[in-house]
Amino acid sequence: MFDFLEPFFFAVFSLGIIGAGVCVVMLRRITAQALLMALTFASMAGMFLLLGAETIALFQVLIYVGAITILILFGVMFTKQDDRGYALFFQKQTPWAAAFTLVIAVPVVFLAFSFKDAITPSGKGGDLIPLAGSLFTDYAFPFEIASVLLLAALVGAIVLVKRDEQ
Amino acid sequence: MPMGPFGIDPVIWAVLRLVIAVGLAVFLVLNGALAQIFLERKIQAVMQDRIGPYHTGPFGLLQTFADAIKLIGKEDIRARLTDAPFFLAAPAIVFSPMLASFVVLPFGPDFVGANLNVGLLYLTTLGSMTVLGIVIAGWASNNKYSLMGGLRSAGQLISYEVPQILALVTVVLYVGSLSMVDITNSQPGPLVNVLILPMAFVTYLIAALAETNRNPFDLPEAESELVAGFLTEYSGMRWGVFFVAEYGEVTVVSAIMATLWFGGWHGPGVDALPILGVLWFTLKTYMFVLLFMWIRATLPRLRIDQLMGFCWKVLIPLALVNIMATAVLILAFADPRLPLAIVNWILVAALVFGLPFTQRRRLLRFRARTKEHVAMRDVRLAP
Amino acid sequence: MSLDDLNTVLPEVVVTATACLVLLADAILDRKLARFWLPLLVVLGLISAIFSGPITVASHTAFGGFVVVDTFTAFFRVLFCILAIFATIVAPEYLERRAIPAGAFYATILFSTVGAMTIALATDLITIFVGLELMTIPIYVLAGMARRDRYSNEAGLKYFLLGAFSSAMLLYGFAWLYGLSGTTTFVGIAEAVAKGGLTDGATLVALALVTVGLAFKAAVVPFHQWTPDAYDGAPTPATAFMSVAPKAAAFAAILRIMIGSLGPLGLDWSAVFAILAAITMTGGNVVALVQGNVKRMLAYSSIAHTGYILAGVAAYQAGASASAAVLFYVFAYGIMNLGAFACLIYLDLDGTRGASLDELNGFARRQPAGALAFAVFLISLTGIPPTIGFVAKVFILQPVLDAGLVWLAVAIALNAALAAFYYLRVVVHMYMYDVDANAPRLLRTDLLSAGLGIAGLAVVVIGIVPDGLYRWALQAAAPFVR
Repeated sequence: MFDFLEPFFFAVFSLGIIGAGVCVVMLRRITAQALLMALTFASMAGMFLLLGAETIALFQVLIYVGAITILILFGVMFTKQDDRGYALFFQKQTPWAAAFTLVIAVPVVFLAFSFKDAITPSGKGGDLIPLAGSLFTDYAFPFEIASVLLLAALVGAIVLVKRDEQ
Repeated sequence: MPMGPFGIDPVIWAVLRLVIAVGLAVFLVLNGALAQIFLERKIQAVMQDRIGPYHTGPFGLLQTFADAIKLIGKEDIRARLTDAPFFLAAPAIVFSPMLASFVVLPFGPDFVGANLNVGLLYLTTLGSMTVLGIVIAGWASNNKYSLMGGLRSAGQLISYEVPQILALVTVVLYVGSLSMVDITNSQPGPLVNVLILPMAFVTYLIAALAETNRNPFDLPEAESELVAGFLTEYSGMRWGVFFVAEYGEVTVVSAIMATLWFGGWHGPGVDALPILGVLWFTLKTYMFVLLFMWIRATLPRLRIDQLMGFCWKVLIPLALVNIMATAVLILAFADPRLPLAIVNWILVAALVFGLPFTQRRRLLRFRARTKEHVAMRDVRLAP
Repeated sequence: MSLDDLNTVLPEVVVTATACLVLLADAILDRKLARFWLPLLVVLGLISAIFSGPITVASHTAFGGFVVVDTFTAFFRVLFCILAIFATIVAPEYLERRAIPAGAFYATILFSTVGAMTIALATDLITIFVGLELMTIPIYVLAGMARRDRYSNEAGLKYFLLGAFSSAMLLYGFAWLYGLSGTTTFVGIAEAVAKGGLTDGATLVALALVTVGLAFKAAVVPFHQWTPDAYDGAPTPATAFMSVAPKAAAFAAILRIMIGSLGPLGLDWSAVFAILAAITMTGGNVVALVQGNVKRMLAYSSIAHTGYILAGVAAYQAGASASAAVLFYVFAYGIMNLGAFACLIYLDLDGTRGASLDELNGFARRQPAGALAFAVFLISLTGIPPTIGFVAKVFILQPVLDAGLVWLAVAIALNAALAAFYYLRVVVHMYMYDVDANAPRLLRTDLLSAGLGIAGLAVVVIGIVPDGLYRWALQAAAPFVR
């Protein structure tokens, strides 16, 4: 009965991701760009939902929309709010960049269809317990290294912005 | 032809169900807001030795209705230099996550919109999205006070999200589920979670106050400094939507506290009469709503540095210690309730008795400095 | 996860703990004590990290197969620790003069080292990617650490933007690999690739994306544009570290991914690497020829060396000797290039970024020990016996010829001759020219001189008796022999 829903939502979300992503690059207003980025993230969460990974979708929204976008807006508000006369995208190199991108993107898109057997999602991403279990057993090492990475990034961010000692 | 409930075609039923559910939620939220505004005004009045609204209807009960009608009837004003799309979208961005939160609240044994197995995560996620709307409202108003309000809101809410989530994690560790229904069912008796995990509760309570922009954390809309913060440029029903959203948020966090720490719908007589659960749940929720109002009438507003300092230097370290202790104790003991309770109450005591101590030291230092100043001035003024 | 698992990654744990200790000590100690204790703490931590891991072991997996410790891992662990020690020893006086926070500097180097070591023990795409990020993100910070210096800001920003870009590229490639094989482990991918071959286009896309991503990290022409600005603008001790450790780690990743997991594709990609190698060494050398700033010249020369190492990767058909040659060259390059950059610390005074050739005039008379070390490193970079650089080039040439890439061997030889010109020009300036009257004051640093002395000695000694190191490199390359 509702078979049409999944492709429909897939279309909506992909449009959200790609459209908002393109706008982020092309628009002139940095606040709008930040918000459209939030839309991209939210559409990504929608994709995760379609794949049956509710937990990841929620984390995606929690972290990317709820925290990262806010922090970006927080930073944007400290900057000058004049609209630029140009978008970052339209510079001297644009024709070259466009041509180069086309040369690379078109084959990639076409070759994407040559996937023989794509992996079907298990649909078990909503279950938190196996997710947490594999994170702390199989993936324990990359997980811990990621935490070291966050620590390093934290230290780095503080070093780069800390006031000079008197 | 397949039949849905009430003999309605399932396709139509699916849509109809959605409409009914959203309508119910909106109805709930709006009524809740109306009731809360009335309560708030009355309670504040009592605490400040006033009468409060009394003119419209019996005991002034209809005053909020009158206000609501006034708000709706007002002209929709948008200042010319505001950023139209964002300015218009902001109230909706604040309102809709709040509304969506009601889906997973367990009102009673069978009165749950959706029993998500990640319900708590869902609530946290939606709570974090509200900030986006406030920040946008502050920015789109194109007004420095609004901008300051938005900035404060962003800084404050992101900071307090951390202890809030840490507090929730403690409970989840103990209960072993993120589902609101499971959490409610885990505490059927009088031994509710607040007796075992009071530290998590205190942490969450404080963080929730900040998360909902309530006193003493209402810096984003501090009227004595920022006119009305991010609300400055809003009027009419747009302003009303922000207000309703705020009261809705208060209801949601109160409901979370009632569920996680106070047994949700459980109470005497629920087994016999499930509908009684709704009553218990509502009562418990409104207990916190009233607590919020009491706090608002009592406490002065914090300064932004105190706010941040308290979060990062006090609340988060304590919450982290609490998580660590909880995890270890749960692993170490087959029945971790007693040790957990001991550790948690010790932490609460440390917070409650430690805070005045640190503040006292700061006060003493301040006094000493003032004395020094006075002495120096006297020296200068001496002939 | 058990204690045994933790024991397997003990060196990484030790280095991370050292980093945290350094941060703590930096906060607790006062400035005078910190000046002495921080570098000592770092060096002690790194040395204990070297000795807490095995030097030669049979392959041993942990964490449910997500981590492998074999001879390859051991080799790179030791190499990264040595590089970090070297970078720490040369830094203190410079940091103090430029008012760069020392504790954070050392901690950042240590974090980066942990990331590099992680790459060496990864058996799957996730671990290797997290390791790559942990290695590069601290490096962005290192590049921008002199906050008052506009060039340092530029270096940090440029490196960050292009680094993030290349990471995205690499990650996208990994996603394709996962889509192709349904697994993230190298073994699983190798099996899937061996079955499918290059017949379907998806493999080609994955391969291209991964190659480009890794090429960015290793600064292969034409993905090298960030290199000169980043190396030139960054504080010199940071440049010394970032010119070697990320490159070594990038080659560890290239060996692990390209040979370890995409090896079954065979000749299909080695031709690409051979061409890239030739372009890289030629491009780097030609541009280095016209540089007046020695720091920038060394940056371009490091690109050229990437080309030589890449030639070894391209020749992997020759068997173990090719991988061993890559490892040996990475080791040699690490020591001599770090040393060469570190020699510029003597000259790096306020207001000058690196040193122009004229500023090096008569350097030998003003700082004989430093000049000697610099000369040794430059001669080694040129590839003149009896230095480690010469041996490394010989070891690279042999598998290249074995693999039938004669034209590439010719390119290497021609490039070495080309490079000799600009390296030796610096030596001539140091020894033959008179000191300018208004030459800047030199920095007096005993620790730097001591560190350079040891490294210079190592360059010469290993250049004379390379057997031990080469045998170790051969052992380390064993996991890649099929």
